Amino acid sequence: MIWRRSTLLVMFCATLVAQEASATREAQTNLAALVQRHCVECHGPDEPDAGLDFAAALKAPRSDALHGRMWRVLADKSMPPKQADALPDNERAALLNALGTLLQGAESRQPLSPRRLSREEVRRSVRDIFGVDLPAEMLPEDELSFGFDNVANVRAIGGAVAEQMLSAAEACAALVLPEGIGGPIPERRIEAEEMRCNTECGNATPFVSLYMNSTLTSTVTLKQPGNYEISVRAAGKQAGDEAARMVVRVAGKRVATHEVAAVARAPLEYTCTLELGAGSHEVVIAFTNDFYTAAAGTRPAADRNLLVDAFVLRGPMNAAPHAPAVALLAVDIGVNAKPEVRARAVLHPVLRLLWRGATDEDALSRLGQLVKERVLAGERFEDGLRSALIAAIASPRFWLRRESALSSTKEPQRSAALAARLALFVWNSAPDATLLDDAERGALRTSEGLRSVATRMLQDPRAGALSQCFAPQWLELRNLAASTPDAQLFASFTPQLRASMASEVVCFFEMVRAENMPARELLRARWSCIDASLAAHYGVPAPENAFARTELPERGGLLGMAAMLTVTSNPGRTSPVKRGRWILDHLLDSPPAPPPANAGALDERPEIAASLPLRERLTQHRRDPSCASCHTRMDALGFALEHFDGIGAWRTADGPHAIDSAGVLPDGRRVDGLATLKQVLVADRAFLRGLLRALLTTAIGRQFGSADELFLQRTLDALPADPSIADLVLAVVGSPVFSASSRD
Amino acid sequence: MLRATGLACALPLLENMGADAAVAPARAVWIFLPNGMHMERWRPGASFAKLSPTLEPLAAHSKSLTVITGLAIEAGQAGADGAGDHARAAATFLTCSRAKKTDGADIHAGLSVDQLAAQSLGNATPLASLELGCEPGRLAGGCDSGYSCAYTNTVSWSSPTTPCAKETSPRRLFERLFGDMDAATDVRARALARARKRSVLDWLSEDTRRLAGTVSAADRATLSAWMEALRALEQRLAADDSARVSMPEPELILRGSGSQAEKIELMGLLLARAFEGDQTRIATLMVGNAGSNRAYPEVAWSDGHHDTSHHGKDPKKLDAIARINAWHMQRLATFLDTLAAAKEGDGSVLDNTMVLMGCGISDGDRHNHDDLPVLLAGGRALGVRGGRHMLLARPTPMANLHLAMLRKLGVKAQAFADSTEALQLGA
Repeated sequence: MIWRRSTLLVMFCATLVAQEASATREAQTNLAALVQRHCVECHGPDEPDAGLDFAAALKAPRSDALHGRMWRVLADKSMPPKQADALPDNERAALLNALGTLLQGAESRQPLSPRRLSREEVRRSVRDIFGVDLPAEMLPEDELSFGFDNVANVRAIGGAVAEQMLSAAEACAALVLPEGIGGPIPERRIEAEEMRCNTECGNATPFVSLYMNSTLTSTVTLKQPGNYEISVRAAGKQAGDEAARMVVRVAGKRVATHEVAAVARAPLEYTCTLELGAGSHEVVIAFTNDFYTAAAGTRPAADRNLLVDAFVLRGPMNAAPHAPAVALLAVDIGVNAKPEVRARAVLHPVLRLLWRGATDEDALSRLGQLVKERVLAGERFEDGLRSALIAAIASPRFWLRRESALSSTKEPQRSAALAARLALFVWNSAPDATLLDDAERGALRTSEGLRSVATRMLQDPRAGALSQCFAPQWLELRNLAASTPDAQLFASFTPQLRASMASEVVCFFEMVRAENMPARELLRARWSCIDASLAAHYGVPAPENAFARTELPERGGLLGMAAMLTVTSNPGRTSPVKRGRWILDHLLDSPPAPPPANAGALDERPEIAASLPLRERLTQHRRDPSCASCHTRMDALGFALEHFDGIGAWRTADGPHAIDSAGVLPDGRRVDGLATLKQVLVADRAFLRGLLRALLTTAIGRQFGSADELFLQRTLDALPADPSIADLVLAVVGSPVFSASSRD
Repeated sequence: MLRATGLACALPLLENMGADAAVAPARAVWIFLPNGMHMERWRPGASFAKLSPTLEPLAAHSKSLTVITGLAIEAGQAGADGAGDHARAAATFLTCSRAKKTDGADIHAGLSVDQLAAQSLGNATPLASLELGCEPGRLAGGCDSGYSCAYTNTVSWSSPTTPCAKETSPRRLFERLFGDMDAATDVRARALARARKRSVLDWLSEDTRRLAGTVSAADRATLSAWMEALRALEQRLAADDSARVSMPEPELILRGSGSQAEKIELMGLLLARAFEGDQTRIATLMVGNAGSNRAYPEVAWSDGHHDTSHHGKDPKKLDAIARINAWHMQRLATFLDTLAAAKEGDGSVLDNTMVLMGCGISDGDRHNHDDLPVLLAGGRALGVRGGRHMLLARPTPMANLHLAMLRKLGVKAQAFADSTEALQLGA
């Protein structure tokens, strides 16, 4: 029976494939005929318009990108152009239909490339797994691609990158298991001979003799802050009526005064404790009560000297139980077990998380061997374990996404790879045990299952990554950190204000996201999240709670945010062009072409700038037809925001010129100021398409371009009329392209 | 089973000339500046008796200086690729090869001259080469008109598809070069650190070998590059580094948050020490990324460098460009001072080091890839004549200069990229 059923299944599939092939052939024939009739007059072999020759282009076996581009211009009716013969509606429908057939599944045909975890993904993974905070600068720089740090970290791993990854793994493992965990308190001994004497000191082995009021100095560098103990082994050559006095100073501050009554044949340790920070500290040992009387008659000379042998720095003494290590070692089965067995018990649960479900028995047992090898070399178990952690973090099993497993037929691998893609998308981090359990149960095998797991993940605070990592990249606002407004013109632009600007974006996006408001609230909001310094900047009363929701009817939403308005300005003035480009790129999903080489610049000579408003100078620039096609779109959008200066403060004049924020868009709509600009943008569904495109780009790790136009439109059409950010995230997660690897 | 890494050399007849141990090592560093120059203020007279205003800060080194006029990089031209001259300026600077216009992972340029030298000579030193920069990459958005940021942020390519990431943090570079020297006084601590590192590297190599059998072809290529990197690390660990010079952590690093001038100076200082201690003989340094829009408060200019370089013949902007250029020559002078002060044999480290500095475009407004501003300093002991302005009669491939430098380094190359012959540096 089983044989029979599978034979039937094969026959059924073969029929499907055959049907698909015949549908494709039919669509190709129809398309060729229609294109021949309506398109090749302009897009033919002789001087084809836009360099596009259909006669040649459509011969290619698969041309998803071309088909997608055709589908888009036919769907939005920008082709054929007005001056050409009109395309009857039924033929347009037939063309779209044929293209629709050919584009079926195109989104899953586009190739994917290997992806290395981004800095943020590494940081958040080790934070969630080990509870440690690895500084971003320790990790190799990200390579941006299509605006995102995790799309194609195409940089090969060679040279500096490999060394950085290895030293980051070392740093991370040391944060989890610092040197000395579970062992004796570390100490270091510094001999008096190694210290600097500020005058002249005598040699009285094993001592250095201080025979006048002088000092011995040494610098110690500490990796960890904490309570330390300084023990100086010393004695005195006693004379007079006081014992030799020894003062210990650290970093210029007196920490102890010892009366050194011991004598050379029985030196003592003189100890004091103090708190020290990490870094370099100067330790000074001073002799302060020198005494000498020359011999007179029968009375011998009396000479008091301080004899110093060495000092020992012990600490940190107060190493409170180190939380990451305690958590890691909670499953340690104890010193009586073999080191490789102990290591296995400790490492298994963390490797499951660190390697995102793909725990490999063989790799695990070899890590056990590594620990054993270190222990046999005389090291403590904890130190061997640290080496194993370094290896596990530096392994490609951690930093390389293994998305090829998505096309695996082996179910546990496929589900683990899906869990990883899900966690890295929604949390920018590794999957947790619950998610991996879900994957093992098979909960991710269906689109509904994926959506339901993702819905739960979106409730988790870790989903704030969408606001902290995704949003500032999507909107290019990470560039705020590199903005350099002119210090004289914008004296109020302090580091504090810069930080507040960045926080506003994250906090606002997070509120819209977490409270499930429509995504378009990002544009139309008449409120934002500000603190006192932004309130002063915006000219409104300071809010009671920093970064709580504050009504801002004249501003509000992304378009009124100082971060955006600053990033899209030149250091010395606003740039309506950059703001217009930013809106087209990020809010209207139609990035303008880059300027032609040798595009003329604006006349910025001071005498011209003073006599002509910026608008007039840009108008001059637009007279050049090669500039006009883009600038008519960009400039009107950008000018609507002219009431906001180069760092986003409200203004009524630009130097001697009054502000004119009015403009006409290419389609004839008028905009004047922020309020009307918001209306225009909110009405356009392109905003949602752009946001969806950006989410897909970072989730799947490739550009979503022409070949995906139909897929984007269909996904968008299936959404509610006014979808939330969560709706968009779920649309990505539930789409076939999310669970399939490319068929390359 | 790992596949070959695809690092096969594009050039025929490559071999190490086999350096005489008694002879000081031959070295080269290629320094990239973004956004072109104010060419009228850059170009010296034919006689070279008087340096140009921009070059004036290099007066003390004029005897070892060759300013070369007439070099061009054909592959930098737009052709059918349209906008993106800055990306092309960096991508072709040392490869002289066309860069594929893409923002995706399918980047493709060419093997760069420094990496060719490193692959030929690198076995002699613990590090085959150093790739340095003074400006981190962009934080968001695109880099240049649809070109990957790999093109604007890198000049070194170890294969046509493999850009070499550069080190932009002086602290990290110090750690990489001298970090373990702290433990040098404690022999036991140092031996322990090495043993630990070796265990980890052994494990990782074996792990990568096993993993490679289970992944896709594309992932396998990444793993083979990683394997290559592990091998280099192992080699470095095993290398005899008795010649290494130790250096205390420079005050400028300890203090942190230094100015840009200090950062550039530090990178130069660390590189000079790496040369001096023979940790490497080949290096590249990007003082800024291609199209860098950094403001220059150092020369009282608050607009971005790139924005300003679109000067539209505005005299004020042109003057700012020239001031920025001269400021960079001051930084170069400091670096040359450091190399010249380091004694080596009868001469200095500078005598055995060729220092090339230049731009991949000439005028920032025209974005032309010919008439490039290029100078060569040092290398006297290698037979670089210096003390002259080499005015080439007609546009000459930049690759001719690279080829000449390769030969002076002892790499027996017949040609490099689109070279026609080696430039005569000694004649």
